Amino acid sequence: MPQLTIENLKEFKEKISSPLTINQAEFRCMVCAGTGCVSCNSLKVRERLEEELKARGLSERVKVVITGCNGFCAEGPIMVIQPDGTFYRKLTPEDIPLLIEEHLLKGRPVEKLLYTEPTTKKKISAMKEIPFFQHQVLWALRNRGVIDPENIDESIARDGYAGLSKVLSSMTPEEVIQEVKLSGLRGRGGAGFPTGLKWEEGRRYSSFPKYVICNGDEGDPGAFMDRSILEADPHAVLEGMIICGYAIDSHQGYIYVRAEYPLAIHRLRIAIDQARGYGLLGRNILGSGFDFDIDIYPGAGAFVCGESTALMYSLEGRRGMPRIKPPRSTEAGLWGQPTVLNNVETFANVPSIIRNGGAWFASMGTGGSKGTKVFALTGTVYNVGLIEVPMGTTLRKIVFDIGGGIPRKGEFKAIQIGGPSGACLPASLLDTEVDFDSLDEAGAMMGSGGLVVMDDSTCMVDTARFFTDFSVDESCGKCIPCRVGMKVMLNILSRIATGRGTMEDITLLEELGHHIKESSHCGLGKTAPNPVLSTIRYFRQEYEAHIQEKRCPARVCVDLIRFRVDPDRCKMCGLCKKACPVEAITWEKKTPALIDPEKCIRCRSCIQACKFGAID
Amino acid sequence: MTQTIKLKIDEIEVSVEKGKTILEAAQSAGIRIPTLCHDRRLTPFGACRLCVVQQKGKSELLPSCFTPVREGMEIITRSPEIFKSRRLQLQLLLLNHPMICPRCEKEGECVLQDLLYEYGVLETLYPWERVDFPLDEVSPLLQRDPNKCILCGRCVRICDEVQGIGELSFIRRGIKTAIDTDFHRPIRCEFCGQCLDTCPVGAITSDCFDYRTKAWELQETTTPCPYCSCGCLLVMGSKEGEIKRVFSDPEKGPNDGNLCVKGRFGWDFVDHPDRLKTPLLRVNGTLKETSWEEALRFVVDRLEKIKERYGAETIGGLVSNRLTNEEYYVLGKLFRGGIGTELIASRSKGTALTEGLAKTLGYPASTNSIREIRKADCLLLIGVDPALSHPIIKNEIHLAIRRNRAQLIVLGSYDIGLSQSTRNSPLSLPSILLLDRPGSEVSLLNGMIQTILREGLEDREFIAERTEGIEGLKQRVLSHQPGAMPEVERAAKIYASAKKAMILIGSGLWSHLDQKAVAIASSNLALITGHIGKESSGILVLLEKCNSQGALDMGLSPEGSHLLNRASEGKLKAFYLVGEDPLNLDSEPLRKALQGLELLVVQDLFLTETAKLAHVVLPASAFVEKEGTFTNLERRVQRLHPLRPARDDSKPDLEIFLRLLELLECRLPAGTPEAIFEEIGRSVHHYQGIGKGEQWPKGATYLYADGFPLGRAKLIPPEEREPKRQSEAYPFYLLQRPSLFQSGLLSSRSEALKKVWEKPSLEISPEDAKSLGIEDGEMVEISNPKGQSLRLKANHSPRPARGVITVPYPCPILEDEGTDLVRIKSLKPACRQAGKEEVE
Ligand SMILES: Cc1cc2nc3c(=O)[nH]c(=O)nc-3n(C[C@H](O)[C@H](O)[C@H](O)COP(=O)(O)O)c2cc1C
Ligand code: SF4
Ligand code: SF4
Ligand code: SF4
Ligand code: FES
Repeated sequence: MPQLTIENLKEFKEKISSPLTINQAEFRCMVCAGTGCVSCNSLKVRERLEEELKARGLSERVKVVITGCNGFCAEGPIMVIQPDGTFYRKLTPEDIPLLIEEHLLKGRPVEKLLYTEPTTKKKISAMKEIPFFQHQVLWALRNRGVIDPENIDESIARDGYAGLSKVLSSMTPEEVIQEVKLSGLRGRGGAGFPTGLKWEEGRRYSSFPKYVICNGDEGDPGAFMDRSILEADPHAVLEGMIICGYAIDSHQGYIYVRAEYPLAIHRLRIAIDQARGYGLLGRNILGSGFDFDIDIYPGAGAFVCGESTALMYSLEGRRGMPRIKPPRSTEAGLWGQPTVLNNVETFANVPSIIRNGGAWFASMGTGGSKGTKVFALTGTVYNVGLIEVPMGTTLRKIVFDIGGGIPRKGEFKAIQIGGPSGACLPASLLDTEVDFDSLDEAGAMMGSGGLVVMDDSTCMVDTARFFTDFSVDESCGKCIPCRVGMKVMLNILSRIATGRGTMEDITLLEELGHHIKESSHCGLGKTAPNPVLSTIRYFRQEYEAHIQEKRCPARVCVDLIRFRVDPDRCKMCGLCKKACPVEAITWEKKTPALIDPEKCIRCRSCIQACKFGAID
Repeated sequence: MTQTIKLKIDEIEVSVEKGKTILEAAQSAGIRIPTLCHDRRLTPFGACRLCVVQQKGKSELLPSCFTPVREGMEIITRSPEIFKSRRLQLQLLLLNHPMICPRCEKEGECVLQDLLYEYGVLETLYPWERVDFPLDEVSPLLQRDPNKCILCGRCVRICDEVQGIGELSFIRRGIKTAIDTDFHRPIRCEFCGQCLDTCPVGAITSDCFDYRTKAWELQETTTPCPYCSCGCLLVMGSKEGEIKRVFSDPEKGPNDGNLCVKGRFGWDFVDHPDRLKTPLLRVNGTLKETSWEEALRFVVDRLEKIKERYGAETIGGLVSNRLTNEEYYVLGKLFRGGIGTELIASRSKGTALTEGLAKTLGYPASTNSIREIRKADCLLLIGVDPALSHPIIKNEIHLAIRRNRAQLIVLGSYDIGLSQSTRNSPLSLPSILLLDRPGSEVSLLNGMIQTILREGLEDREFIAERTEGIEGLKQRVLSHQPGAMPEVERAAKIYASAKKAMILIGSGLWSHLDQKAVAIASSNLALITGHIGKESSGILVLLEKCNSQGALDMGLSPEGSHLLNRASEGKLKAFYLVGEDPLNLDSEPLRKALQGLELLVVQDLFLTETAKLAHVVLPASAFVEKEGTFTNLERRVQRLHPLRPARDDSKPDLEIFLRLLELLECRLPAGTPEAIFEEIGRSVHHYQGIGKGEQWPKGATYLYADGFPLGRAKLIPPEEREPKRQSEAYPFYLLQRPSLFQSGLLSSRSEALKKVWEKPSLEISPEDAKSLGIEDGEMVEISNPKGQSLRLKANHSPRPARGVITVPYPCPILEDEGTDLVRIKSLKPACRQAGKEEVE
């Protein structure tokens, strides 16, 4: 194994770059092995592909590469064929022989395996022409789908560790910090704290040892940005951490990863081993005399363990419970020592910033928020998946251009941004730019980057209740308002959703919500009332409908729904009566059916049974 | 230099040290801010947010308990927003709180109840379903009702941060969060009750308290603890003279508001039904009740006769270390003046240590204070296990390790539990263990001194200016060859280079072969490195009992064991025992000798084994019925405040001594304890002019800041003696480990402490056990050359050094002090021992 140094890294890169280009292999089949695709059998697809290639003696001409998450998870298992960039989706092992025959041997794209644009029904073969990808700008995810994350050479070939080499050969720690400050990079873990400032703080305290921690806990339900980065490009994160270590004079880093991310942990282990083997991690990195090592720590499984101080307690083997500040972690963090903790995506941005300069990074984004941000786009949009866009991109662009709009002729109702304690923004705010400050103004927050799109079949009271329920269970129990107050809010929401609410409840919710935000200690409690407060702010009429009219406009809150047979549309067939499991429907031949609201359990069987849409 | 910060709180100008919190600043100005989760001993937690305040003109609510003061701040502690926030917090707390206040032990002093009243919080519009938590009603001494708990975390934090135990923790999340032990098992810990003491509500209670008395009915009396020499101040709550509970004084005393199990729960002996009620006189071979006049007359008549017939030197007195200074003073007068004998002594353990220090430094006492331990960065513990014998000192050591990352060096024959507390963090320096056979202490210390001198790590300036005898020491130590363990060198270097280093010595887990030499060697070590005469640098002697130091100071001889030997040899005709029961460990020769006495007087709380042989038994009053002073191990002279008059027909020891003096027609010293204390101040030099609760001399928290009373401190090459050698037949050193729950006569009469007594078991190193084929948990028999034997369970333990076994106090086959050589026999059936299957 070569020992890399500052001098020979470039040379090594040139050397290994060549066999990776298509000059050697005619095709490179990039099979997505992100968690999403793996869970729908992409590894079977790869296996079959390799078998078939071998059987046909094509192994030399065609290289199969396992990549991290491609991002377009809704279409998995995904394979992209390079150099032409054809995007195949929803593959099964059975599709492989055809694909080899047609695409690889005959050079003809397999039509039925291509992506179909949902509105125009047009087939699109080139990945970059698919709207989902067209509007994205990849920096944190620049290597996704392009390299094999389990092979460090491929990372190096794409400038991996070039930033580190630059730092170690030509920059002082102060210059590194200056560059990061210049970039305007703000933490991607939620709070958006300026990264350069944090590092500067970490450097200022001269108590040793110091620590660098990468926060890969990612506890937000539905979020998988950090997981994808770790799975697709672990070396970028390692490199960012080493650079941070150099900047603050630390020699030990920890990556705290959610234990439910086995693949990410597996790839990190491989990456760390390989980096150590090359002399990029451990003693005397790149021959520079700088030492830095990294260990992995599987998380303890509570959402609140993602909070930085709770995370450090958890690392120390204690209960993950946020602690008070001062002192800040940069002064006394892990084991009471100066510690810089950043999010996975934050670290992943650092190498590019160093390579291309802080000014380059600052040229993307808005006034207060620079660079790009990765989001997990889910909910009722066509294109569910992982996206990276420049800061300042509007919600509209994300939902409609990248997300492809709302399926099934639904209408956009709201977008929930910022994870379980994010806010729900209405259609009128679709032109809000996603950056820290604009979102803050709208009463929302960036959070870690979850985006849930909701259409008109969503009840906002119910949505608020859903997210509140999550926070109630995840509160660490320290603060009275977070522990008890959130439960009270949940109880009030339930009261409203079951038709027992009063108009005063809205005031109670608002008053409590503000108190909880004000008097809770950590970010969890400080933001947990957001779903309720934002839905009251933007969808007040829905609350009022539940309370005053005992009606759920979206017909979601079961207790408020009254099923009724429209006598005009009823064809008196009696199918509904047969479908009803509790005999709530009376029907005689030649008379319209009638539903007894007392007996009805609102199971919707009758609605589905009725062929004439007479029941609603 | 500490910087001061000026700020205004409620328009009052306050200046405090930089780094203080707004709450501390407010408290220093006498401004009250409500708190629930705050306890000044603990790191702020910031959970309850009742302490919120505002800055003038700003709306943000600042939690005052952890927000540091800043220059020029203008703080307001009362505003509508503040009140509203507090009220909401209380309202939320109330939702799941069972409103059974009238049935709660805490009613009347519950912080929550008071705040609810103050803020007028009653009921809310909030919908709520009660969450029920299971109670703990089965633990000994402490019971818990998590339903009342407000999750302030004080119990968890004090148990972890101060006690170093971590018995309680937060479990689960959300509204189900609770405080519990692992898997809700009964509590099994030090039973210090610190959690109970700090709990602001009634979530932790004790079955020692009576559940009938309300807080407002309690009369509170502050008095020093009668157990160890730490001298913690107890706040005893009593009703009509009956003790109901003991809490600690949060502000005064050496204990920083902390107590151990004995202080907190071990007081019930004072109301034990077996307490002696009247004087007893032996008539026709049996003890009969009698009057004080008759009993004392009898004593005086006999004493006079014996003195006349055999001479005063056949009269001796043995006194416990639990009397007051005033009593010792008068007792001295009684024996020396009244009777004319010097044979009045106590069996103080560890006083040879103070003697050693007196020789080298000047005063026979600890040089520093207990509360200074926490600031030291190196602690050398020689043969002591403070966690068991002086729990408050253990807390201090724990704080030093936790907050200061102090280096712990354990020197002796047994690794103590405390050495594990450094495992708390990978950055804490692992404890250094210097373990060897009992009797190797001086040699190990000399090894350290040798390393320091050889490597030039000594404090030359200090040695030159303030000591004498360096040449002699050098000669002796450098020429001698201690089998230099690398660990000894490491320990020496760390000790020498520490900023603040303290040595803790005491009676306990070691040989007592040569206490004086150990004290001198320790003092040499401290002197050559200049670790003396400064805050948190010096030597503490962990004396045994509550007034061991006072007994010494009042001139009582510590040679009580010699006196007992004299008695056993039949050289005494009259023996006066005060609070001593030498037959507790049975010894036939002594029993015979005592039976042969012409006068045996026993003055005690109980009819002890020895008392049963006495001619006269005098019922003494307990510490809660007495006045006077105790001097703790840090030279702090604290006053006893009686909470009731003498029980039944008992009398305070002082009164008895005075009366005897009177009957002997001697000149009486002053009559009241206060007047006697004044007299002590005049005749015992360093007691001059000390105020209540102050340390002698002149309130000094540490000694020798301005030089030594001897001019220069003396470096004396200590004698190194070859320790007793093991023999083939008796290959093991037997040591007695102190027991946390049992320390002597008083604790053995406490029903509360009995609930948590541990089953005695022998500890043996796994290597030794293996070589003897003794399995973990197996019954064994140990026996000594005197033919005494003892059967108990043997546990493998990494703690004892090779060749050393330990049993807990009280060990019936071991003299009170010292070590003995013993052999061990397995009690397994022979067939199993041979490794065969057991046949039934
Ligand atoms: C309840 C809670 C959960 C959090 N979870 C995460 C998480 O999973 N990942 C993360 O990076 N940050 C999380 N954070 C934010 C961290 O506390 C911290 O601000 C962040 O990791 C700092 O890194 P950055 O400056 O790079 O964003 C969480 C915060 C709170 C209050
Ligand atoms: S806000 Fe909630 S999660 Fe955060 S510390 Fe307080 S109780 Fe724990
Ligand atoms: S009694 Fe002491 S050791 Fe036991 S749980 Fe309470 S604080 Fe901890
Ligand atoms: S038991 Fe008492 S001290 Fe412990 S958390 Fe509950 S209220 Fe606080
Ligand atoms: S006393 Fe300040 S938060 Fe509880």
